[in-house]
Amino acid sequence: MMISSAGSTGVAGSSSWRPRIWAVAVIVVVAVLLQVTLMPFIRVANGLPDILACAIVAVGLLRGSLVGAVSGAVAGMLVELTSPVGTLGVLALLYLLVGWASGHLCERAEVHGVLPPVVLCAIAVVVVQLGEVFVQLMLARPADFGDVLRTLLASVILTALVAVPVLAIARRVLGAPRVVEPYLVPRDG
Amino acid sequence: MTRRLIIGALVVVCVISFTVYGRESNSGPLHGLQNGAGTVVTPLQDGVSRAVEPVRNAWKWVTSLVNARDRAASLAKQVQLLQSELVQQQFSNDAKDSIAAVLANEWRTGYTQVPGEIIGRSPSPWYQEARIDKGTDDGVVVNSPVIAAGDVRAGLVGVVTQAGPISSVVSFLSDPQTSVGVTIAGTDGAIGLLQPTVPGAFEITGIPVSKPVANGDLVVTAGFAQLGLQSIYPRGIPIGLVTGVGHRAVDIEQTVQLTPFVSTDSLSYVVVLAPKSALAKQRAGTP
Repeated sequence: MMISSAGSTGVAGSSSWRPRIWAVAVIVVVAVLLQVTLMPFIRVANGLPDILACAIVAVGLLRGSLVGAVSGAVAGMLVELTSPVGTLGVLALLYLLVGWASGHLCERAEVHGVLPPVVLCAIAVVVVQLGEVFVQLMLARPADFGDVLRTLLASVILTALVAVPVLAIARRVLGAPRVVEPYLVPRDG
Repeated sequence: MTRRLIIGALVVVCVISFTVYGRESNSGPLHGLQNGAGTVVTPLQDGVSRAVEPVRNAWKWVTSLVNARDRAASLAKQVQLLQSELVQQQFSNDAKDSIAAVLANEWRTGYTQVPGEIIGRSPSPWYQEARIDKGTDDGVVVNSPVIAAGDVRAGLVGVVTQAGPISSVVSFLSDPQTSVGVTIAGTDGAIGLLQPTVPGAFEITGIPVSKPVANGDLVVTAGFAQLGLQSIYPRGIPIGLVTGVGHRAVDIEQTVQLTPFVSTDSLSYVVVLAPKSALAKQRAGTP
Protein backbone atom coordinates (compact mmCIF):
# COMPACT_ATOMS: atom_id res chain seq x y z
CA MET A 1 0.00 0.00 0.00
CA MET A 2 1.26 3.44 -0.79
CA ILE A 3 -0.22 6.72 0.27
CA SER A 4 1.49 9.53 -1.54
CA SER A 5 0.14 12.91 -2.35
CA ALA A 6 2.75 15.64 -2.41
CA GLY A 7 2.37 17.53 -5.60
CA SER A 8 -0.71 15.57 -6.69
CA THR A 9 -3.21 18.32 -6.07
CA GLY A 10 -5.02 18.02 -9.34
CA VAL A 11 -8.75 17.57 -9.31
CA ALA A 12 -10.46 15.50 -11.95
CA GLY A 13 -13.59 16.70 -13.67
CA SER A 14 -16.86 16.86 -11.79
CA SER A 15 -18.02 13.46 -13.06
CA SER A 16 -15.17 11.59 -11.36
CA TRP A 17 -14.80 13.93 -8.37
CA ARG A 18 -18.34 13.78 -7.05
CA PRO A 19 -18.52 10.00 -6.44
CA ARG A 20 -15.29 10.23 -4.46
CA ILE A 21 -16.82 12.80 -2.12
CA TRP A 22 -19.74 10.44 -1.57
CA ALA A 23 -17.16 7.76 -0.85
CA VAL A 24 -15.66 10.00 1.85
CA ALA A 25 -19.14 10.40 3.37
CA VAL A 26 -19.72 6.64 3.26
CA ILE A 27 -16.37 5.92 4.91
CA VAL A 28 -17.08 8.45 7.67
CA VAL A 29 -20.62 7.18 8.35
CA VAL A 30 -19.57 3.51 8.39
CA ALA A 31 -16.64 4.34 10.69
CA VAL A 32 -18.96 6.27 13.04
CA LEU A 33 -21.45 3.38 13.11
CA LEU A 34 -18.72 0.85 13.88
CA GLN A 35 -17.18 3.17 16.48
CA VAL A 36 -20.43 3.61 18.41
CA THR A 37 -21.82 0.08 18.08
CA LEU A 38 -18.97 -2.44 17.90
CA MET A 39 -15.78 -0.86 19.23
CA PRO A 40 -17.04 -0.10 22.79
CA PHE A 41 -17.49 -3.82 23.31
CA ILE A 42 -13.89 -4.59 22.26
CA ARG A 43 -12.35 -3.35 25.46
CA VAL A 44 -8.95 -4.56 26.63
CA ALA A 45 -7.39 -3.08 29.78
CA ASN A 46 -9.97 -0.28 29.47
CA GLY A 47 -8.59 0.65 26.04
CA LEU A 48 -10.72 0.76 22.90
CA PRO A 49 -9.72 0.60 19.23
CA ASP A 50 -10.40 3.94 17.53
CA ILE A 51 -11.49 2.97 14.05
CA LEU A 52 -12.78 6.50 13.49
CA ALA A 53 -9.34 8.03 14.02
CA CYS A 54 -7.97 5.61 11.39
CA ALA A 55 -10.71 6.57 8.93
CA ILE A 56 -10.15 10.30 9.47
CA VAL A 57 -6.38 9.90 9.10
CA ALA A 58 -6.96 7.99 5.84
CA VAL A 59 -9.35 10.66 4.53
CA GLY A 60 -6.92 13.41 5.49
CA LEU A 61 -4.02 11.63 3.83
CA LEU A 62 -5.97 10.90 0.65
CA ARG A 63 -7.97 14.12 0.30
CA GLY A 64 -5.98 16.83 2.06
CA SER A 65 -6.43 19.00 5.10
CA LEU A 66 -9.76 20.61 4.20
CA VAL A 67 -11.69 17.39 3.56
CA GLY A 68 -9.85 15.76 6.48
CA ALA A 69 -10.80 18.55 8.88
CA VAL A 70 -14.45 18.73 7.74
CA SER A 71 -14.78 14.92 7.88
CA GLY A 72 -13.23 14.88 11.34
CA ALA A 73 -15.53 17.59 12.67
CA VAL A 74 -18.65 15.97 11.22
CA ALA A 75 -17.63 12.49 12.42
CA GLY A 76 -16.83 13.72 15.93
CA MET A 77 -20.12 15.60 16.16
CA LEU A 78 -22.02 12.50 14.94
CA VAL A 79 -20.38 10.36 17.62
CA GLU A 80 -21.24 12.90 20.31
CA LEU A 81 -24.82 13.14 19.13
CA THR A 82 -25.44 9.41 18.83
CA SER A 83 -23.58 7.83 21.71
CA PRO A 84 -23.44 8.39 25.45
CA VAL A 85 -20.47 10.71 25.89
CA GLY A 86 -20.95 13.62 28.23
CA THR A 87 -19.80 16.33 25.82
CA LEU A 88 -20.70 18.07 22.56
CA GLY A 89 -18.05 19.67 20.38
CA VAL A 90 -15.02 18.14 22.08
CA LEU A 91 -14.64 15.03 19.92
CA ALA A 92 -15.59 17.14 16.89
CA LEU A 93 -12.71 19.50 17.62
CA LEU A 94 -10.24 16.67 18.32
CA TYR A 95 -11.09 14.71 15.16
CA LEU A 96 -11.03 17.98 13.19
CA LEU A 97 -7.48 18.45 14.41
CA VAL A 98 -6.59 14.87 13.45
CA GLY A 99 -8.05 15.24 9.94
CA TRP A 100 -6.45 18.63 9.40
CA ALA A 101 -3.03 17.53 10.66
CA SER A 102 -2.88 14.36 8.57
CA GLY A 103 -4.05 16.27 5.50
CA HIS A 104 -1.55 19.02 6.18
CA LEU A 105 1.21 16.44 6.49
CA CYS A 106 0.34 14.73 3.24
CA GLU A 107 0.29 18.05 1.40
CA ARG A 108 3.86 18.75 2.50
CA ALA A 109 5.60 15.40 2.45
CA GLU A 110 5.54 12.12 0.61
CA VAL A 111 4.06 9.33 2.69
CA HIS A 112 5.17 5.89 1.50
CA GLY A 113 4.44 2.45 2.86
CA VAL A 114 2.19 1.14 5.60
CA LEU A 115 4.11 2.19 8.68
CA PRO A 116 3.79 6.02 8.52
CA PRO A 117 -0.03 6.02 8.27
CA VAL A 118 -0.27 3.43 11.06
CA VAL A 119 2.00 5.58 13.23
CA LEU A 120 -0.20 8.57 12.34
CA CYS A 121 -3.27 6.63 13.50
CA ALA A 122 -1.51 5.82 16.79
CA ILE A 123 -0.59 9.49 17.26
CA ALA A 124 -4.19 10.44 16.41
CA VAL A 125 -5.50 8.17 19.18
CA VAL A 126 -3.06 9.68 21.66
CA VAL A 127 -4.17 13.19 20.66
CA VAL A 128 -7.88 12.35 20.90
CA GLN A 129 -7.58 10.54 24.24
CA LEU A 130 -5.28 13.10 25.85
CA GLY A 131 -7.70 15.79 24.67
CA GLU A 132 -10.52 13.90 26.37
CA VAL A 133 -8.49 13.51 29.56
CA PHE A 134 -7.80 17.25 29.51
CA VAL A 135 -11.53 17.92 29.22
CA GLN A 136 -12.17 15.48 32.08
CA LEU A 137 -9.77 17.45 34.24
CA MET A 138 -11.43 20.72 33.18
CA LEU A 139 -14.76 19.27 34.28
CA ALA A 140 -13.23 18.36 37.66
CA ARG A 141 -13.44 14.63 36.98
CA PRO A 142 -10.49 12.87 38.60
CA ALA A 143 -8.10 10.98 36.31
CA ASP A 144 -5.47 8.61 37.63
CA PHE A 145 -2.10 8.99 35.85
CA GLY A 146 -1.36 5.26 35.82
CA ASP A 147 -4.85 4.51 34.54
CA VAL A 148 -4.47 7.09 31.76
CA LEU A 149 -1.15 5.56 30.67
CA ARG A 150 -2.55 2.00 30.72
CA THR A 151 -5.65 3.00 28.78
CA LEU A 152 -3.63 4.98 26.25
CA LEU A 153 -1.23 2.12 25.66
CA ALA A 154 -4.04 -0.40 25.20
CA SER A 155 -5.93 1.95 22.86
CA VAL A 156 -2.83 2.63 20.76
CA ILE A 157 -2.08 -1.09 20.33
CA LEU A 158 -5.71 -1.95 19.48
CA THR A 159 -5.95 0.96 17.04
CA ALA A 160 -2.69 0.01 15.33
CA LEU A 161 -4.15 -3.46 14.80
CA VAL A 162 -7.29 -2.15 13.09
CA ALA A 163 -5.45 0.63 11.25
CA VAL A 164 -3.99 -1.49 8.45
CA PRO A 165 -7.29 -2.89 7.13
CA VAL A 166 -9.05 0.49 7.56
CA LEU A 167 -6.31 2.33 5.64
CA ALA A 168 -6.28 -0.32 2.92
CA ILE A 169 -10.07 -0.16 2.50
CA ALA A 170 -10.03 3.65 2.44
CA ARG A 171 -7.24 3.65 -0.16
CA ARG A 172 -9.23 1.24 -2.31
CA VAL A 173 -12.50 3.16 -1.99
CA LEU A 174 -11.09 6.68 -2.34
CA GLY A 175 -8.48 5.88 -4.98
CA ALA A 176 -5.40 7.97 -5.57
CA PRO A 177 -4.53 10.81 -3.19
CA ARG A 178 -6.01 14.08 -4.35
CA VAL A 179 -6.04 17.27 -2.35
CA VAL A 180 -9.37 19.06 -2.58
CA GLU A 181 -9.41 22.82 -2.34
CA PRO A 182 -12.67 24.75 -1.88
CA TYR A 183 -12.11 26.91 -4.93
CA LEU A 184 -11.65 23.77 -7.03
CA VAL A 185 -15.11 22.41 -6.26
CA PRO A 186 -16.71 21.87 -9.67
CA ARG A 187 -19.95 23.64 -10.35
CA ASP A 188 -22.89 22.44 -12.37
CA GLY A 189 -22.97 23.65 -15.94
CA MET B 1 -7.83 31.52 2.43
CA THR B 2 -11.26 29.89 1.93
CA ARG B 3 -9.88 26.71 3.44
CA ARG B 4 -8.73 28.57 6.55
CA LEU B 5 -12.11 30.25 6.84
CA ILE B 6 -13.99 26.95 6.67
CA ILE B 7 -11.71 25.24 9.18
CA GLY B 8 -11.77 28.31 11.45
CA ALA B 9 -15.58 28.38 11.33
CA LEU B 10 -15.72 24.70 12.28
CA VAL B 11 -13.35 25.25 15.20
CA VAL B 12 -15.52 28.15 16.41
CA VAL B 13 -18.67 25.98 16.15
CA CYS B 14 -16.98 23.20 18.15
CA VAL B 15 -15.75 25.56 20.87
CA ILE B 16 -19.15 27.26 21.17
CA SER B 17 -20.92 23.87 21.32
CA PHE B 18 -18.59 22.63 24.03
CA THR B 19 -18.87 25.81 26.08
CA VAL B 20 -22.65 26.12 25.82
CA TYR B 21 -23.16 22.39 26.46
CA GLY B 22 -20.99 22.55 29.57
CA ARG B 23 -22.78 25.56 30.99
CA GLU B 24 -26.41 24.73 30.25
CA SER B 25 -28.63 22.48 32.37
CA ASN B 26 -29.72 18.98 31.37
CA SER B 27 -32.86 20.48 29.85
CA GLY B 28 -30.93 22.97 27.71
CA PRO B 29 -31.20 23.13 23.91
CA LEU B 30 -27.95 21.28 23.14
CA HIS B 31 -28.79 18.50 25.60
CA GLY B 32 -32.21 18.40 23.94
CA LEU B 33 -30.57 18.14 20.52
CA GLN B 34 -28.36 15.30 21.76
CA ASN B 35 -31.37 13.55 23.28
CA GLY B 36 -33.37 14.02 20.08
CA ALA B 37 -30.54 12.68 17.94
CA GLY B 38 -30.21 9.74 20.33
CA THR B 39 -33.92 9.03 19.94
CA VAL B 40 -33.73 9.23 16.14
CA VAL B 41 -30.76 6.88 15.85
CA THR B 42 -31.92 4.42 18.51
CA PRO B 43 -33.68 2.08 16.01
CA LEU B 44 -30.63 2.20 13.71
CA GLN B 45 -28.26 1.67 16.61
CA ASP B 46 -30.44 -1.19 17.81
CA GLY B 47 -30.32 -2.79 14.35
CA VAL B 48 -26.57 -2.37 13.90
CA SER B 49 -26.04 -3.53 17.47
CA ARG B 50 -27.91 -6.75 16.70
CA ALA B 51 -26.07 -7.16 13.38
CA VAL B 52 -22.66 -6.97 15.05
CA GLU B 53 -23.70 -9.12 18.01
CA PRO B 54 -21.99 -12.27 16.66
CA VAL B 55 -18.70 -10.34 16.48
CA ARG B 56 -19.23 -9.05 20.02
CA ASN B 57 -20.04 -12.55 21.24
CA ALA B 58 -16.93 -13.95 19.55
CA TRP B 59 -14.84 -11.28 21.27
CA LYS B 60 -16.48 -12.04 24.62
CA TRP B 61 -15.71 -15.73 24.13
CA VAL B 62 -12.06 -15.01 23.36
CA THR B 63 -11.64 -12.71 26.35
CA SER B 64 -13.47 -15.14 28.64
CA LEU B 65 -10.94 -17.83 27.65
CA VAL B 66 -8.09 -15.49 28.54
CA ASN B 67 -9.62 -14.68 31.93
CA ALA B 68 -11.08 -18.13 32.62
CA ARG B 69 -8.57 -19.18 35.24
CA ASP B 70 -8.67 -15.86 37.13
CA ARG B 71 -12.45 -15.80 36.96
CA ALA B 72 -12.77 -19.35 38.27
CA ALA B 73 -10.47 -18.51 41.18
CA SER B 74 -12.41 -15.33 41.94
CA LEU B 75 -15.75 -17.17 41.79
CA ALA B 76 -14.44 -19.91 44.07
CA LYS B 77 -13.37 -17.23 46.54
CA GLN B 78 -16.79 -15.56 46.34
CA VAL B 79 -18.58 -18.87 46.88
CA GLN B 80 -16.42 -19.48 49.93
CA LEU B 81 -17.22 -16.03 51.30
CA LEU B 82 -20.95 -16.46 50.70
CA GLN B 83 -20.95 -19.92 52.26
CA SER B 84 -19.29 -18.58 55.39
CA GLU B 85 -21.77 -15.71 55.40
CA LEU B 86 -24.64 -18.20 55.15
CA VAL B 87 -23.33 -20.30 58.02
CA GLN B 88 -22.86 -17.20 60.16
CA GLN B 89 -26.42 -16.09 59.43
CA GLN B 90 -27.83 -19.51 60.29
CA PHE B 91 -26.08 -19.51 63.65
CA SER B 92 -26.57 -15.88 64.59
CA ASN B 93 -30.07 -14.55 64.87
CA ASP B 94 -28.67 -11.12 65.65
CA ALA B 95 -26.75 -11.00 62.42
CA LYS B 96 -29.77 -12.30 60.57
CA ASP B 97 -31.96 -9.59 62.02
CA SER B 98 -29.50 -6.83 61.25
CA ILE B 99 -29.13 -7.95 57.62
CA ALA B 100 -32.91 -8.21 57.32
CA ALA B 101 -33.17 -4.69 58.67
CA VAL B 102 -30.60 -3.44 56.20
CA LEU B 103 -32.25 -5.18 53.28
CA ALA B 104 -35.40 -3.14 53.51
CA ASN B 105 -37.64 -3.78 50.56
CA GLU B 106 -38.35 -0.23 49.47
CA TRP B 107 -36.69 -0.82 46.11
CA ARG B 108 -38.89 -3.85 45.48
CA THR B 109 -42.23 -2.23 46.30
CA GLY B 110 -41.73 1.44 45.44
CA TYR B 111 -40.43 0.89 41.93
CA THR B 112 -41.53 -0.77 38.71
CA GLN B 113 -38.80 -3.00 37.32
CA VAL B 114 -38.27 -2.21 33.62
CA PRO B 115 -35.92 -4.65 31.84
CA GLY B 116 -33.80 -3.05 29.13
CA GLU B 117 -31.10 -4.02 26.67
CA ILE B 118 -27.84 -2.12 26.27
CA ILE B 119 -27.79 -0.98 22.64
CA GLY B 120 -24.84 1.37 22.76
CA ARG B 121 -21.84 2.12 24.90
CA SER B 122 -19.62 5.11 25.17
CA PRO B 123 -16.97 4.88 22.43
CA SER B 124 -14.56 6.63 24.75
CA PRO B 125 -12.79 4.84 27.61
CA TRP B 126 -13.20 7.97 29.73
CA TYR B 127 -16.98 7.81 29.99
CA GLN B 128 -18.59 4.84 31.75
CA GLU B 129 -22.00 5.22 30.18
CA ALA B 130 -24.36 3.17 28.03
CA ARG B 131 -27.54 3.69 26.06
CA ILE B 132 -30.47 1.34 26.77
CA ASP B 133 -33.59 0.71 24.73
CA LYS B 134 -36.05 1.96 27.36
CA GLY B 135 -37.14 5.54 27.90
CA THR B 136 -39.78 7.80 29.34
CA ASP B 137 -42.47 5.92 27.38
CA ASP B 138 -41.70 2.95 29.64
CA GLY B 139 -41.74 5.00 32.84
CA VAL B 140 -37.98 5.54 33.03
CA VAL B 141 -36.98 8.95 34.38
CA VAL B 142 -33.70 10.68 35.10
CA ASN B 143 -32.23 9.43 38.41
CA SER B 144 -33.87 5.99 38.12
CA PRO B 145 -31.52 3.44 39.74
CA VAL B 146 -30.32 0.62 37.47
CA ILE B 147 -29.62 -2.94 38.64
CA ALA B 148 -28.39 -6.03 36.78
CA ALA B 149 -27.77 -9.71 37.30
CA GLY B 150 -24.24 -10.69 38.25
CA ASP B 151 -22.36 -13.97 38.43
CA VAL B 152 -23.38 -14.52 42.05
CA ARG B 153 -26.30 -12.16 42.64
CA ALA B 154 -27.94 -9.04 41.29
CA GLY B 155 -26.67 -5.62 42.28
CA LEU B 156 -26.76 -1.91 41.63
CA VAL B 157 -24.87 -0.91 38.47
CA GLY B 158 -25.72 2.75 37.91
CA VAL B 159 -28.31 5.43 37.39
CA VAL B 160 -30.21 6.94 34.47
CA THR B 161 -28.70 10.34 33.65
CA GLN B 162 -30.57 11.18 30.43
CA ALA B 163 -34.00 9.94 29.42
CA GLY B 164 -35.56 10.20 25.96
CA PRO B 165 -38.90 8.74 24.87
CA ILE B 166 -37.51 5.41 23.62
CA SER B 167 -33.98 5.30 24.97
CA SER B 168 -32.00 6.44 27.99
CA VAL B 169 -28.39 6.92 29.03
CA VAL B 170 -27.15 5.03 32.07
CA SER B 171 -24.07 6.21 33.99
CA PHE B 172 -22.39 3.25 35.63
CA LEU B 173 -21.09 3.34 39.20
CA SER B 174 -17.57 3.29 37.70
CA ASP B 175 -18.15 6.76 36.25
CA PRO B 176 -15.97 9.16 38.26
CA GLN B 177 -18.92 11.50 38.83
CA THR B 178 -21.06 8.81 40.44
CA SER B 179 -21.04 8.28 44.19
CA VAL B 180 -23.46 6.33 46.36
CA GLY B 181 -24.29 6.52 50.06
CA VAL B 182 -23.85 2.97 51.36
CA THR B 183 -24.05 1.00 54.55
CA ILE B 184 -22.18 -2.16 55.46
CA ALA B 185 -24.05 -5.01 57.07
CA GLY B 186 -22.64 -5.60 60.53
CA THR B 187 -21.46 -2.03 61.15
CA ASP B 188 -24.64 -1.07 62.97
CA GLY B 189 -25.80 1.31 60.26
CA ALA B 190 -22.56 3.21 59.62
CA ILE B 191 -22.88 5.29 56.48
CA GLY B 192 -20.07 5.65 53.95
CA LEU B 193 -19.62 7.05 50.49
CA LEU B 194 -18.87 4.65 47.63
CA GLN B 195 -16.77 6.01 44.78
CA PRO B 196 -14.82 4.40 41.92
CA THR B 197 -11.03 4.41 42.05
CA VAL B 198 -9.45 2.55 39.13
CA PRO B 199 -11.64 0.71 36.56
CA GLY B 200 -13.49 -2.12 38.27
CA ALA B 201 -12.45 -1.11 41.80
CA PHE B 202 -14.33 0.93 44.39
CA GLU B 203 -13.56 2.53 47.70
CA ILE B 204 -15.86 3.38 50.59
CA THR B 205 -14.88 6.33 52.76
CA GLY B 206 -16.43 7.76 55.89
CA ILE B 207 -16.78 4.56 57.95
CA PRO B 208 -15.36 5.32 61.42
CA VAL B 209 -12.65 3.09 62.83
CA SER B 210 -14.99 2.34 65.78
CA LYS B 211 -17.27 0.35 63.43
CA PRO B 212 -15.33 -2.80 62.56
CA VAL B 213 -15.62 -4.00 58.96
CA ALA B 214 -14.52 -7.43 57.77
CA ASN B 215 -13.76 -8.92 54.38
CA GLY B 216 -16.89 -10.49 52.90
CA ASP B 217 -19.31 -8.02 54.53
CA LEU B 218 -22.27 -7.13 52.37
CA VAL B 219 -22.53 -3.53 51.10
CA VAL B 220 -25.96 -2.11 50.29
CA THR B 221 -27.33 1.32 49.45
CA ALA B 222 -28.04 3.38 52.55
CA GLY B 223 -31.06 5.26 51.27
CA PHE B 224 -29.51 8.53 52.22
CA ALA B 225 -26.16 10.14 51.62
CA GLN B 226 -23.80 11.67 54.15
CA LEU B 227 -25.10 14.50 56.38
CA GLY B 228 -28.55 12.96 56.21
CA LEU B 229 -29.28 14.10 52.68
CA GLN B 230 -31.76 11.94 50.81
CA SER B 231 -30.19 9.68 48.19
CA ILE B 232 -31.59 8.99 44.72
CA TYR B 233 -30.98 5.30 45.49
CA PRO B 234 -33.53 3.54 47.71
CA ARG B 235 -32.35 1.72 50.79
CA GLY B 236 -31.18 -1.90 50.62
CA ILE B 237 -30.00 -2.51 47.03
CA PRO B 238 -27.02 -4.88 47.21
CA ILE B 239 -23.85 -3.54 45.56
CA GLY B 240 -21.01 -5.90 46.42
CA LEU B 241 -18.78 -7.41 49.07
CA VAL B 242 -15.98 -5.87 51.10
CA THR B 243 -12.64 -7.18 49.83
CA GLY B 244 -10.20 -5.02 51.76
CA VAL B 245 -10.13 -2.85 54.88
CA GLY B 246 -7.36 -0.59 56.09
CA HIS B 247 -6.51 2.44 58.20
CA ARG B 248 -3.47 4.02 59.79
CA ALA B 249 -3.12 4.50 63.53
CA VAL B 250 -3.87 8.23 63.28
CA ASP B 251 -6.95 7.82 61.04
CA ILE B 252 -10.44 8.26 62.41
CA GLU B 253 -12.00 6.69 59.32
CA GLN B 254 -11.16 3.44 57.60
CA THR B 255 -10.75 2.85 53.90
CA VAL B 256 -12.83 -0.02 52.61
CA GLN B 257 -12.38 -1.68 49.20
CA LEU B 258 -15.39 -3.20 47.48
CA THR B 259 -15.79 -5.68 44.66
CA PRO B 260 -19.18 -5.21 43.00
CA PHE B 261 -21.51 -8.12 42.29
CA VAL B 262 -21.93 -6.99 38.70
CA SER B 263 -19.11 -6.19 36.31
CA THR B 264 -20.33 -3.71 33.70
CA ASP B 265 -17.65 -4.55 31.11
CA SER B 266 -19.64 -7.25 29.35
CA LEU B 267 -23.12 -6.31 30.51
CA SER B 268 -25.89 -6.72 27.92
CA TYR B 269 -29.12 -6.42 29.92
CA VAL B 270 -30.14 -4.27 32.87
CA VAL B 271 -33.26 -3.59 34.93
CA VAL B 272 -34.27 0.02 35.48
CA LEU B 273 -36.13 0.80 38.70
CA ALA B 274 -38.77 3.24 37.50
CA PRO B 275 -40.22 5.24 40.43
CA LYS B 276 -43.77 4.23 41.38
CA SER B 277 -44.38 5.30 44.98
CA ALA B 278 -44.42 8.92 46.17
CA LEU B 279 -41.15 8.43 48.05
CA ALA B 280 -39.48 6.92 44.99
CA LYS B 281 -40.62 9.85 42.84
CA GLN B 282 -39.37 12.24 45.48
CA ARG B 283 -36.00 10.51 45.44
CA ALA B 284 -35.78 10.83 41.65
CA GLY B 285 -36.87 14.45 41.83
CA THR B 286 -39.93 13.92 39.61
CA PRO B 287 -43.34 15.42 40.37
